[in-house]
Amino acid sequence: MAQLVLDRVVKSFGKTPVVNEFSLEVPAGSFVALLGPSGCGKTTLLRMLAGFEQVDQGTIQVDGRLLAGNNLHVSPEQRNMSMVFQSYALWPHMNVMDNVGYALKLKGVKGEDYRQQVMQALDTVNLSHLAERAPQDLSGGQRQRVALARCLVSHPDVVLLDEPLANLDQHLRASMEETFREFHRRTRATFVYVTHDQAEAMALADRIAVMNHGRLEQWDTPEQLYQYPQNTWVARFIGQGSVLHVHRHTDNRLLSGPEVMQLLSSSLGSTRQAILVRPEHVRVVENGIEVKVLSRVFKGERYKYTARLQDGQELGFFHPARLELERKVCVQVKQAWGLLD
Amino acid sequence: MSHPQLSSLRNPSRHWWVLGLLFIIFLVNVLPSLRLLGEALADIVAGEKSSFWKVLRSSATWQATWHSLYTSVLATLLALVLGAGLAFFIALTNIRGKSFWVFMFMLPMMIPPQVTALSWLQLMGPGSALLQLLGIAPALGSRQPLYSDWGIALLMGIQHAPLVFLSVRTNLLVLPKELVEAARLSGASQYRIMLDMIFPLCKNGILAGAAIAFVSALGNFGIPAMLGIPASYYVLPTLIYQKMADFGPLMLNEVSSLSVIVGAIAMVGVWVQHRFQSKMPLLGMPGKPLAFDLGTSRLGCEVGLGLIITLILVLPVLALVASSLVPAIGVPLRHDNISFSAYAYMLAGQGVTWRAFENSMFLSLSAAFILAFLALPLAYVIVRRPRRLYSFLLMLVDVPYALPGVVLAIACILLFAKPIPIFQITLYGSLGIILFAYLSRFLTVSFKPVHASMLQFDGALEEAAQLCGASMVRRWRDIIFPLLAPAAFAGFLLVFMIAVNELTVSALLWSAGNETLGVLVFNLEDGGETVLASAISVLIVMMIALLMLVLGILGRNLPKGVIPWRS
Repeated sequence: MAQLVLDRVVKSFGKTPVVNEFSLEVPAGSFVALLGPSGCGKTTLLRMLAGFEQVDQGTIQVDGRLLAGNNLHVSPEQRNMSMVFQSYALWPHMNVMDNVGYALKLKGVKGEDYRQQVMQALDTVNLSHLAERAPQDLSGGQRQRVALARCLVSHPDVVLLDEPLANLDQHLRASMEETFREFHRRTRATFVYVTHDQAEAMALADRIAVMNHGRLEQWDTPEQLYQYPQNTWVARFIGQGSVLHVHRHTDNRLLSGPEVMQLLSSSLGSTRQAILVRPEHVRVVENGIEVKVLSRVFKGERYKYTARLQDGQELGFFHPARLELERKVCVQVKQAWGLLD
Repeated sequence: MSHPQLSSLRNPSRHWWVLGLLFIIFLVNVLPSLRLLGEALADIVAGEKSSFWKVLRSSATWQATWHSLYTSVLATLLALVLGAGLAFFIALTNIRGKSFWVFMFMLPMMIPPQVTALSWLQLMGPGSALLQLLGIAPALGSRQPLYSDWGIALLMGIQHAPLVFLSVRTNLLVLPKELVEAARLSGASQYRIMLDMIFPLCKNGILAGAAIAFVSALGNFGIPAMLGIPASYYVLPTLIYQKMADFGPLMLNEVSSLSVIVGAIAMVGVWVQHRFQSKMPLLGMPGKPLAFDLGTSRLGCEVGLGLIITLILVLPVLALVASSLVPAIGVPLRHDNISFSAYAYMLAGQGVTWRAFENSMFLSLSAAFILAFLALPLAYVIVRRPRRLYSFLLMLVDVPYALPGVVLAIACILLFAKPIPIFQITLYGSLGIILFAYLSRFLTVSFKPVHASMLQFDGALEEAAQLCGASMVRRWRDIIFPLLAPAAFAGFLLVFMIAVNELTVSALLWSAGNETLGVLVFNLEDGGETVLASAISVLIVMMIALLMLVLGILGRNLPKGVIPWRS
C-alpha cells in the first residue's frame, strides 16, 4: 500500500514527446485506471513507473521516496512493484509453481516455507491443482491468473497492469474483472491499470486518469467522468453522447430541459459553445424539436438511433419501438451538460 | 507491444562488455578482410611494376577467371532448374512424406564438396567399383568423363541446388493461401494461378537463390580441385591454391591480388542476393500451406522424385561405399573379396589419419563452442538495443562466410605471416591460424539460429524477472540463457558439422602435423589412396546424416528459421 506521486513527468522518443508534463497523485491503496486511445502514452507512463523507461524531466515518488527524476533512476528490480503483462510473460521453461515462486527464490526463501507461500498464492487464484503444469498447457484465463499469483507472492507496494484483458474473449473478461477486484481487496496494494477500454476502466477503477497525446485530460471518479466531462474531447471519448453546438455561454454547468430545448430551437449565433447530450436524456414525444431519423441499430432491449436536427447537427437517442428511416419525429431533451470548449 | 530497450542496458557503467564484444567481432570478422584490402590497395597505388598489374597482365589470370565464370554460371543454371523445380513440387503439391524429401534433398548441400567429388568419381569412369560390379564399367585406360568443365559444373550444380531450393521454398511457404483462393474464385485454372500468381510472387526468392548458388559455386574449391587439377583446368580458387602450393609465401603478393578479384566478383553476387532477398514479400503465415491436388499422377510423381534422389545422392554414395570395400582400386568388388582393411586401418588410432581426425575434432568443437558463446550476447545486444551501427555490423558478420574460402585463407595468412606484435606469437603454421579462420568464417552460421530465436523472445519475460528482483546476471542465468540455449545448441551442431569437414580454408592453412579431415581426403585421393579416402568419406557422410537427424528432431521445439531446412 503506497501513495504514488508523479510530478510534471516528461518523456520523448527522439523529438516526439510521448508523455508531456504529466502530474498525478494516486492515493495509497486505490485502484486507478489510465485510460486513453492507443498511442496516447499510457503504456509509456506505466513503463516509467516500473522503471523500464527513464524519465526525461519531472519526478516519480512512492511514499515520499524518490524513484526517478533529478538524475536518479531506481532500477526495476529495486522498486518492489510487480506487473501483469498483456502477453502474461510466463517463463516457458519453468512450471507454474516455479513461475509464481521465482521472486521468493531470489529472496532466498527455500524448502517448506517456499512451497507454502507459493501454494497460498496459487490458492487465492484457485490454481493450486495446476502447480506442476507448464504454462503452455494452460488456457488464456488460467495463464492470466498465474501471472496474478506471481504478483501476489512478492507482496508489492504497487501492482501495474498493462492491458491484461486484451487477449481474452468476452466471457472470460467479466470473470477476470471480478478476480482483479477480489485481488485488489486482498492485497490492499495500489493498482495502476492501463486500458483503452472505457467499460473496463469504469467497472474496475476508483478513479480514472484520461490521457490524450501524452497529457492528462481529466482525473476523476468514473461517475464524475461520465456525467461531467471537463472538455469536448473527453465528452466525445467517454460514452456515446452527442456534442452539439449552441450560441450561448454555458460553461461547465448542468442545463435543465427547458433551457436546452430553447437553446436548440433558436438558430446559431456568433458565439459557439458546446453542450453534451447523453442519449438516455432524449425522449421521443408528441411535441418537441423536429428531427429526421438517419440510422437505426437494434440493441436487443431497444434501438439506438441517430437523427438530424434542423440545423444539420446529429443527435443520438434510444427508443423501444422501431422507427422508419427518413421519418420525422419530435424529441425532448431532459438535461444537458455545458462544456468548456 | 514491443520492448525494444531495457533500462539497465542504458546504464553507461555496464557498457564495457558490449564494447569488448564489438572489439572481438571486429578482430575476428573485419580485420582479415581489411588487411587484404589494404594490401591490394597499396599494391595498386605502387604502379606498373606491382604484382597487381602483373597479375592483371597474366593470361593465366584471365583464363582462370573465364573458367570460374563459365563453370559457375553453368552450375547456377543447373541448380536453378533442379532446386526451384523441386521446391515448387515439394512445397506446392499434396505429395506424401514431404519432410523425408526435404531431408534427402538437403543432404548433398551438407556433404563436403571433396566427398561429393570423390563419390562421383567412384560412380563414373573406368575404376568404378560399382560399375565393375554391374559389369558396365568403361574400359581401363579410358578417360574419366568428370575431369572436365562440364563435370565441374554438374557437381557444383547438384551441390548448390539445395540453396536455391531453400530460398524458393521459404518464399513459397509464406505465400498467403487467400491470394490463391481469391484467384480461384475469380475463375483462374491451376495453370493460370501458377503463371499469374505464384511465379511472380516468388520471383525474388528464385533470383536470390540463384545469386547465392552462383557465389557458392565461385568459391567452391573441393570440386574444381578434385576434378579440374588432374585435367589442368584451373579456376580462380584452384589457381590460387596451386600457386601457394608450388611457391609458398613467395607468391603471397600475387595471390592476394587474385583473391581480391574473386572477392570482388563474389561481393557483386552477395549484393544481388541481398537485394532480391530484402524484396521478398513477407506476407504473413498462411494457416495451411498450399497443396495443389496431383490427382492420379501423384504416385508417378513420387516415383520420379525418388529417381532424382537416387541419381544425385544414392548412387554416388553407393559407389563410394563400394570403393571403400575393395581390396585395391581397379579390383572388381565380389562377395568373397569384400575388405574392411581401410576401416580397420583408419580406426587403429595411429598415423596421419587419426591425427587429422583429432585435429578436426579439436578445431571444430572449439570453434563451435567459442562461437556459441559469442553469438549469445551478440544476438542479445543487436535485438535489444537496435542501433544503425549494429545493422552494419550484421552485414560484416556475413562477409567472411560469403567470401570464397580461399580469399579468407589468404587474408589470414597476410594477417599472421609475421608474429603478432607485443605477444610475439606466430600463428602461421599452427592450428591456431585455422581456428582463427574458422571463427571468422562460421560466426554467422552460429549467430543466425540464436538471432532468429532472440527475435521471437518476448521482452516482457525478462522484464517480469526484473520486477521480481533479478539482476542482469541472474536474468541471464535464469531466463535468457535457458530460453536461447536450444538455438545456441543448434548453431553449435551446425558449425561443428560444417567445420569438421572443412577443406577450402584449411587447404591453404594446414601444415605438417596440422592436417584436417577435409585436407586428408583430398591428399589421399591426390596420392592415389582412393580406398582409404572412400572409407573416410563414407564415415563422414554417415556422421552428417546422423547430425542432421538430431538437428531435425531438435528443431521441432525451436522457433521457425533456427534450422535452415525446417520452416
